[in-house]
Formats: sequence, C-alpha cells, structure tokens
Amino acid sequence: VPDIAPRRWLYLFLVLASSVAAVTQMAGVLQFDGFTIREAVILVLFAILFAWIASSFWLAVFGAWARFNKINLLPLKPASGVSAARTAILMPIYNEDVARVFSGVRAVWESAGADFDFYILSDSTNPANWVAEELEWQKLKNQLGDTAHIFYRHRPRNTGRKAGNIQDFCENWGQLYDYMVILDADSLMTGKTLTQLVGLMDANPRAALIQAPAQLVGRNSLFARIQQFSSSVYGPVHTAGLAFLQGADGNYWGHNAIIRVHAFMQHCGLPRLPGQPPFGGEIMSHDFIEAALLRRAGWEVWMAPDIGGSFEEPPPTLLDYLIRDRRWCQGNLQHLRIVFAQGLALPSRLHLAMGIMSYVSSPLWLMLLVVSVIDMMSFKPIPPASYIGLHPSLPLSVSHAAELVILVLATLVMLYGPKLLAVGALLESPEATRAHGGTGAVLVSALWESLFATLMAPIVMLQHSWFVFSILMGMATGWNAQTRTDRALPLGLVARTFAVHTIIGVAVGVLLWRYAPDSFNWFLPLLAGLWLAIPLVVVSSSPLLGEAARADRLFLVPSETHGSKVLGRAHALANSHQAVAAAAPELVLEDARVRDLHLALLAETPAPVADPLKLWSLRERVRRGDTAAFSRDDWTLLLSDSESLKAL
Amino acid sequence: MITQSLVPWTPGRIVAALFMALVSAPALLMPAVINRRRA
Repeated sequence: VPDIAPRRWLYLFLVLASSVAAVTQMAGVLQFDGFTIREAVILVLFAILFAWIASSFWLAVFGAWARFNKINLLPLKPASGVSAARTAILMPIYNEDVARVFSGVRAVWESAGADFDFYILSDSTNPANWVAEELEWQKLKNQLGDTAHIFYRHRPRNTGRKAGNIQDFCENWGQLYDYMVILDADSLMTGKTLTQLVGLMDANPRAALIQAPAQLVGRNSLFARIQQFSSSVYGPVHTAGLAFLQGADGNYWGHNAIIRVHAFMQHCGLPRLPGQPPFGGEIMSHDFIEAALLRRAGWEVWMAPDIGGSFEEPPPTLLDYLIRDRRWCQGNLQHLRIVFAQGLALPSRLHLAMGIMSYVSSPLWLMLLVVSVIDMMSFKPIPPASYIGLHPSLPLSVSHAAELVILVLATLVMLYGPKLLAVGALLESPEATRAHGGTGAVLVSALWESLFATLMAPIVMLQHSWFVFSILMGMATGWNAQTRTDRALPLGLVARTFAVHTIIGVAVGVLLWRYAPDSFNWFLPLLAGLWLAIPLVVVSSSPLLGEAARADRLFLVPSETHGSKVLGRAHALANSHQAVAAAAPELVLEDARVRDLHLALLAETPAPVADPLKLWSLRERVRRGDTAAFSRDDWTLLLSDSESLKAL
Repeated sequence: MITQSLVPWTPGRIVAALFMALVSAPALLMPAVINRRRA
C-alpha cells in the first residue's frame, strides 16, 4: 500500500492532538487550587484512558471514511483461473459438543465441495467425547462417500493446547498442503469464500495469511443477539479502519483465516517462555504471536474485511462471555513479555499492546473512578471570604462548568461517535439497511444496544479489573471448553456471581450520596449498571426474550433476515442430529464394531507411557464388570492402550 | 515446525535501551549542529 505511511501519521496525529486537547482542558479544571498528588494521578490516568478511547474513535472515523469513499481495503492481485493448490480445512476441537462439530464440518463440506481436505483435530480429554467423535466421523464418512476427504485424528495428550494441535498437524501432514484454513468448533465458512481465499493466496505469493473477519451469528439469547447486531452494524467500520491502517501488517484472530503452510511451518514454531505461568510457559494467545512472527520473517499478513461468508457464534450469556474473557485476558497479559521482544515489526507490537490495553484499561478506569471519588469527598470549597491583611476580600467566583461540559461531551463523542458513524455508514446502503430490518429497526436497535452496552460496561470493567489483578497475583487459569449452547441462566448462579458487583455499586452509591451528593448524578449511569447487574445478566441470557426481540424486529442481522445457506444447513443438521446411542466409553468394550473402529484409529498412536500394574488392574476391573467407578483418567488410559483393549 | 526465538525483554533491558537512546540522542544530533555552525 503506497500511501499507508501518511495514513498512519495522520491517525497518530489525530489521536495525540485530541488527547492533548482533552488533557489540557482537564488540567485547567484541576489546577485552580493548585495540583495535589491525587489530582496529578487523576490527570495521568485520564490522559491514558482518553488516548485509548480516542484511538478507537479515530479508527472508526478512518473506517467510515474508507467505507464512504469506497476505498479498496484489500489491495491484492485478484485471483485468476482455477487453483491447483491443495488446501486443508482444519477444525481443532477440545471436548466440544460433538453434534455441532460434525454438523458444521458437513455443512462446510457441502458448501465447499470435494476440492478441500478436512481434518478434525481432536484434543478431547473426555473419553465419552473421544468415542462419540470417532463414531460421528465414521457416520459422516459413510454418509458422504469416498469423494469426501474427511480425516479424524485424536491426540493422546493435548501438549501446547490449540497451537500444539495445529503444530502436530503441520508436522504430520503439513507437507501435503499449500494452504490451511483454520476453523473453530463454532465457526463456519462458505465454499465461495474458501475458494476466493485460495485464489488470493495463489495470486499473491508474498501473503502468508489472510484473515476473513467472522460475523457473529446463529444464537437466540437476548445477550447474543445484541452482540450479533453490534458486530454486524459496528464491525464493518471497525474492520475497515483496521484494514485501512494496517495494510500488510495485519493480525491473526485464531480462526477463519487461510495460512500458507510452509511459511507457517518455518516461522511459527512457538517457543516456551522462560518462567512459570501465568507469564511464562506455553504461549496462550498464540494467534497474535504467529502473525507477528510471520511479519518478522517478511511475510505479508492481510485482513479481508469485505469477503463475507465467514461466521462464528458469540457466547450465549454475559457469564460465558466473561469466562472466555478470563482466558483471553491471561493470554493477552502474557504478551507483556513479548511486546518488546527483539525483531518484531512496530505494527505487530501495536497489535499486542492494544490487546493488552483492552484489558488493562479496566483497572485504570477503576482507579480513575476511585481516586476521583476520594477527591470529591475530600473537596473543601474555598471559603466565601478571605483576608488580605486585615481587610476581608471577596474572591472571584471560579466556575469550571464550561470546561467540564466540553470534556464530558468530548468523552461522549469518543464513546458513542463510532456507533453513530457505523449506523450512518450502514444506512447509506439500502441493501444493508434492509438486511438489518429497515431504517427504523436499525435506529431503535442501536439505541437499545447503546443502553445495554452502557449498563454492561461497569460490570465488565469490575470483572476485567479482577481478572487483571488476579493474573498479576499469579493465579493461573485452565483452558476449559466453552459453553456453546443457548441457556437461560439460573438466578441462583447469577446472584452468587454478581452479588459482589451489586454490593460494590450500592456501597459506592451510599458513600457518594452521603459525602458528595453534588457528584452523585454524574455517577448514576455507572452505578445503575452495577445495581442492575443480576437482573440484567439473567434477563439477557433468555433465549425466549431474544426471540421475542426478533419478532419485534429488534437486533436483526442479515443471516436472520436473508438467511445463510451454510448456517441454515449446519443448524438443521445439528437439530435433526441423532446421537450415536448414549456415546460412552463403555461402548468400546461392549460393541465389537465400536471397538474395531477405535482400535483401527488407535493403530498409529504410540502406546501410553503407563504403569503396567495400573493397566492390569484396570483390565481386571473390566473383567469383573466393575467399571462404574472408573474415573475419566482411568477410561482415557484404558482406551489409549490398544494391547489392553485387544486382551479384553 | 521450527521453534522461533522470542527473546522476552526484561525490565532491565527496556531501561537500558531508553538510557542508550537518551545518551545517544545528543551525539546523533551533534553533526547537524556542527554543520549549521560551519555554514
């Protein structure tokens, strides 16, 4: 991109200029009775946070500008002719809902045709999932016939988690393929998009990775439908801004991207970081690092904001969203170690820094609020009369109302401006407007979404602050499978989880009301979110309310109004799916057909390193019919050892 | 897969780099000043 440098300089200038202007105003307000240390802290925190929201505001402005002016956001050579390249579609899974995984694979296969090879790369540690996956795979193979190249591989140990899973694929089968497309257990891509991506890779040999941003789709809960709406309406402006500024210095978001296998194999072997988790050990959020390593090696990393046909499902409830955020937070904070690593390109460092900041901004905001509240509570008004010598003199009354109003307005513009710009960009296209239910529906939905996001913000802020604090204190987390089904959350669970938020909200409210009643109203929007945390989370988790909102034409997205073939097919398959009996590890022992399949798939896996005595005792217990007390590990060990299974 | 080296920078290295930048900045700017004087 020839003019990328001026774009970036202009962006930097605008972010800095607007931040300097706001900080100057703030300093003017704070300094009228001299600076205290508290006020200096407020100013520094305000400066950081304002620059942070200014950076996303200007990103949206650039994105909207690029959209309005129809700028080509993917300046790559177009694909030409039929591709001779070999492409593998990988779906790494880890104890995921088996029906959904295989419905998704089948839907993508039906859309993409037989040109692609599919690899279901299982890291499942739950033996019931493992057996069910094998049976589902066999069923799918039988249904689709020989033209379908769909492979299943189970790793006995999930070393290196998802990155290790992909690495294992590369080491075993990577040489066979030019490109690989990574899917998540809940993501889908259309055949058309896959073919386009392959064509683009063919035509642009310097490109190592093209990310196809996924649209959030397919859920029914109110929370998820609001997320889907906001990603569909605000996402295009955001991704346009990113693509416009990053050019070939793009990022990788872990799935729904095509990767040049040999570039990946040469440059993306991740090291273990020295030290203990959470900062040392395996790199958790591997995607950003892989993109940074590709850039370091001189390869191009692109994003295709307008390619379409790339989907994923959002978490169904705020609780699930926060559980996922806990992992992402830890992964991103670990990047603190890498953000200054040698040799990375500056844009890669910025991607890492922005990932870190998206979580660290929460405790900073919290600190700003706490220090401000303390400052307000200890505010002593200037006495109405003071003395010069013996003569009383009236001081000039000083009002900072004007500066404060300007500051508040500026902050509101930074926060809500991107939403307005995005709605504007959407309404400009009649087709996109219709796909979101029409002008009225878009405006009303955007209003509700803004209200909802405003109420959610303080809850998420408190939670993120806790995540950052607990991670910095060295409390590491595991990497559990995500909940990927709609569920109305039980009140008891939500009340236990969000009682702390509510109590903090009430306590701060009482303090403010008692000691700084003048400032109370300013904090009301924040406090309201905390007071309402429990009902908000319960109500928004409801699939019924989500569907009622849809009936009212609220939060409509194109996949709901026009439908999407691949998505509809995946859902239909999942709904009509019949589980292969009660898929349980016992099946391997009881059903000869299941055992043969399992043994055949186990043939290439090395025998587990285990105490022979332990295996013997497990076999004996099976012979006595005493498997009810088998733990998960017992089953996994037994199912991994083909010799034991053959002996039984 | 070829394992990449990623040298995580320690706080000490970051401070040292900043210090070096501080020390070397005048030296880097010096020729311009000298040239201007000569002119």
